[in-house]
Amino acid sequence: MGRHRHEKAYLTAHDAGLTGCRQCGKVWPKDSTQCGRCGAHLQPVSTASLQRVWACWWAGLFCYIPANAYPMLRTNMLGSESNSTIMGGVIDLVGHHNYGIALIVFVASICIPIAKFIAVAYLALVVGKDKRAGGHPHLVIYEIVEFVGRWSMVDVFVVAILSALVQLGAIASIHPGPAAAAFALSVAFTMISAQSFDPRLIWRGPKVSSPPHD
Amino acid sequence: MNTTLDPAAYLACPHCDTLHHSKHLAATERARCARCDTLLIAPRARSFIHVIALSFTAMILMAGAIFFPFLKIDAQGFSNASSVFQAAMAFSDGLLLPLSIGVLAMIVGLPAVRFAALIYVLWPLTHGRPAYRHARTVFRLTEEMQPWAMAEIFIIGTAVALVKVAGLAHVSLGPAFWAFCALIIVTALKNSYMSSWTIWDAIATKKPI
Amino acid sequence: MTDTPQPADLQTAEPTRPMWTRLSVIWVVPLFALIVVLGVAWKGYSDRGVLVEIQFEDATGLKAGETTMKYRDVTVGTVETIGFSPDLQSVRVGVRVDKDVAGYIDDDARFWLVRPEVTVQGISRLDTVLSGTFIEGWWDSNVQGDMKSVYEGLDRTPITADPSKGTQVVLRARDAGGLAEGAPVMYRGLAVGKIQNLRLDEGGSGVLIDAFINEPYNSRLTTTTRFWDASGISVSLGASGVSLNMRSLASVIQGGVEFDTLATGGSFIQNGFPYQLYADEDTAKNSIFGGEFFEPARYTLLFDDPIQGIERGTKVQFRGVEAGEVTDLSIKVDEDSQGERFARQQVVISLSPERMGLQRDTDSAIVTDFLQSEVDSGLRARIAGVGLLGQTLIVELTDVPDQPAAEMKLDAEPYPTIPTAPPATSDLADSAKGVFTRIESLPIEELLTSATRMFDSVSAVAESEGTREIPQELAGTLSEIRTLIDGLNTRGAAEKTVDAIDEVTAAANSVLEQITGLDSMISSADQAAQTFAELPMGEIGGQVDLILQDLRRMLGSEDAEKLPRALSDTLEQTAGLLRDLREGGAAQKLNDTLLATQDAAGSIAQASDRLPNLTRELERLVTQAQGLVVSYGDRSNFNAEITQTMRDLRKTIDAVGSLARMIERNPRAFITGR
Repeated sequence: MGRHRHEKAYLTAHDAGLTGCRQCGKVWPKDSTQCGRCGAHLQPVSTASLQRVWACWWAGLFCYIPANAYPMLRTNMLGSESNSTIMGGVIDLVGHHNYGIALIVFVASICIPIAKFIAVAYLALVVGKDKRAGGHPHLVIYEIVEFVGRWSMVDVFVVAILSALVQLGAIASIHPGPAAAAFALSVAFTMISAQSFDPRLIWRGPKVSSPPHD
Repeated sequence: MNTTLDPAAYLACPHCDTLHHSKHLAATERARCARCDTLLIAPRARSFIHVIALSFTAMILMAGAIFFPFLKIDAQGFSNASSVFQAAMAFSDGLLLPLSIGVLAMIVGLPAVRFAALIYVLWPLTHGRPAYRHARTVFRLTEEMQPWAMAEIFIIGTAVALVKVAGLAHVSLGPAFWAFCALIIVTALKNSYMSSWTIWDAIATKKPI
Repeated sequence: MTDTPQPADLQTAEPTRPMWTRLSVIWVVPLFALIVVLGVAWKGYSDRGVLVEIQFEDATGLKAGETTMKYRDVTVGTVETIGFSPDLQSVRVGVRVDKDVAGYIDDDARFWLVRPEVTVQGISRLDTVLSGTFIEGWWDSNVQGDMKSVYEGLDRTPITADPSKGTQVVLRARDAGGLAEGAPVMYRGLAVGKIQNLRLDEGGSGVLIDAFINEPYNSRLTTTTRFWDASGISVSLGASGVSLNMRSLASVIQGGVEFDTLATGGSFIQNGFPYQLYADEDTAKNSIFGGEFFEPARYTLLFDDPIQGIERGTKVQFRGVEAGEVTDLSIKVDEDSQGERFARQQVVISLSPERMGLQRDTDSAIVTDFLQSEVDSGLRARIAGVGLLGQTLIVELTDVPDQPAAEMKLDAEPYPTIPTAPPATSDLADSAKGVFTRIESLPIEELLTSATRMFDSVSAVAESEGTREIPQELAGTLSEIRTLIDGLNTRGAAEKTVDAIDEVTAAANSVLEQITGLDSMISSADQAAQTFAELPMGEIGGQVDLILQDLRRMLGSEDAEKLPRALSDTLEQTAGLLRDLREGGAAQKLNDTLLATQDAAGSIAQASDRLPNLTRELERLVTQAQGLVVSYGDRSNFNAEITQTMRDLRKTIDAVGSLARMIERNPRAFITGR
């Protein structure tokens, strides 16, 4: 039960000719298609699953473009309406010398999503070729992506709360812009993309780089 | 390789596919994946009853969070109050309506459904009775929903929004806000008591833990 | 084998664990949560305010859950429901009012909607454009009486939210004239209150206006206070010259009401005290009715003869004492015994009981009784001319001898009738042609007669024995007189009239002083006209324009459709106001008025310039004549004739003088034609 952070040969269910359920961890013979315990669909460890990853990755990326191009918030302050895109908001904040918040917004809304795209793409590209040696760092990347993915939705919630709360007649009112939906979709797609990624691929050796059909 | 392994004697880490020997753990023990350190099994003494109780708590808090006033903003004599429901419906204008529904589901719907589902699955198990029908499907869906239940993210979003609005106006927090905070804590507690392997085992063996 | 019963084994059972031991401590957590949540819910429920139902005509700008109710500008409640009254005629708004103030809401509570309003005084409550309409409430700090189940919302903002901070009185006027809602009430030029709620009285015979006078000025109100309409501009010509009365710009456009307490000794008044609103300051101060309004006794007079020259406001004399005025004129068509229709002039008069020797507030029935007995003893109503020249027509209630017996018809509509008699003067028809006609016919005739008589006298003197002894200077004088008389004779009548007016006006006190007064008045009128033309209208228009632009920019054109109706109304009103101000030409109107005034003043000034000639001539004549008399000592015949001449001359000058005084008393007639 030690914590073996560094590489050591482990027998995977796949290598043992078995299929592990990704849902409950129960191990089944190789050709089973459904987990007998939890009823989940059993997926063989295969790069074929990467297709879903890529599909959602592209979808997320496409959604990310309007999410940045369109305004996220329409702010109406004393009659002057301003549409702020994510990047515009950051520039505004810098203009107001709110470097702290600007940095937070920049990191949370721009860096992290982009890093996520890069990370998922990297993992998806790399798992097909790489050796087992890369396994552990890749797992860390994967875990970070999966963990951070949900938290990107914070932006959408912030927009929702601001829009619902700041309704002070003509003094100040905030309405969500189309980018909010695009951003939410983008986050959702990246989440699906990351979920679709089969982390077992990280540990799969090069020798089984093609689906082991007997 | 060794194709004669008995699947029933092993468990595979859902993350890295490493095979482990299956083993019945004592109530306070925890089992982790040898390679990737993912928590695999963590039975706790009377953990099911705790999960149920916390789920009940969470549902009560959720009811409060929905119906109590959430946030109120005051600026130069103007004021506006918003409930959690209104926050979710902020997108209900035209094309953004689906987003509104999605947000509502993420912050209220899915968490509530998950709590109810957990109670449904675990209730008979704590009393030594076989699981209810479809408990398997229900629990699997519950597990699949987990990443999409974002109540805790919502409360962080609230905090960020408050920071942004703080300079503009005075914001007062309503009871729903505190209910939501409590909900987050309760959910975290509940998660710490839950071990899906154990629950799967219990459902499959129809035996109480 | 044996069925012998065996002792039974003890049936033992595990002790049932009590229920509470089977329960996990963890259940304390949901229980605690439940208690807290229920506690919060109960607190919210028990702390929630009282629902006050208010009915309004419409719910423009009201939103359930958003619209607030304010008391002294503090939010004390929120609109919870918006529904309809059972008859669908009004909107019923349910307002959840905070518990701590709800207790004070009793019978006297009033509620109204606060929306942006555009008036000539400016745009008020512009804040509500931003914050949205809200409901304002007012109630006092006494807790007496219960909350009503439904309150009637006022359809407009009351003059003052807090009626304890002043006094509200009711003004009764003949018509609303130039008065508008919200016009100021002035006291010595200070705006001390407002009028509002202009409405017809029950009978439709006048207008009722609520006026609110703020503290501390309300202490000026007594029963002797008189109110008058201070709208616009007035020009008055007095002994000290001509003065231009113009209050604030707002009062020019919007009208205004002014009051003053003329006599001491009046008693202080209560809220809702009725006052008469007079047409102008002079009328107010000279009226025989007090400032206090009470329903005067009214009577109908039916005249067969034409009554041109009688108008509203014509004085009514009771046995020579001014006792009332004409309030209405109309034609009444009757049928005689043969069924023939004939028309009669119907004159409604109001009488002040006080002036007839009765108590001030005598009931009209008692006044009628009194008049009835007077009618029995020969009292009749008739039209008469008064004044030196007989040019002023009045209605006279006096004993007319040799009249057929008649009595009052008490059931006549609209008021009891007083029997009438034929006009007092035979030349009524002529005199009825109007003041100017009278001036034309009467004074000039008198002047001519006097002059002719003087001429005759002079001729007599000339023919008398001592004529030859008359020194050369007298001959000169006589020729001068002859020239004068000739001049008078040969000039056309109309010209004479004008001259007479000219001269008469000039004869008013201190010609020089008057001319100075005129000059300054003209220049001030000029200035005023210029000021109007150049300054305020343009600027105000520009300012309103700017405000409009600001507003539009502020609200963003894209959102314009979404703006609450109140706002679009506001914008429309603002635009309308602008249009009225610019196109309808308030400035133009003011200019016109001022021009007319200027013209009138100008002609007076001209008149004043030309005027002294005749007066001087006459004066010289008299002086010379006097010298003559003195120099001739006691030549009996001649002396007597000269004395007669002198007397005639004096008479002439007196006639001119009294005409002048009449003009002085009633100067507006020359300028405004009133």
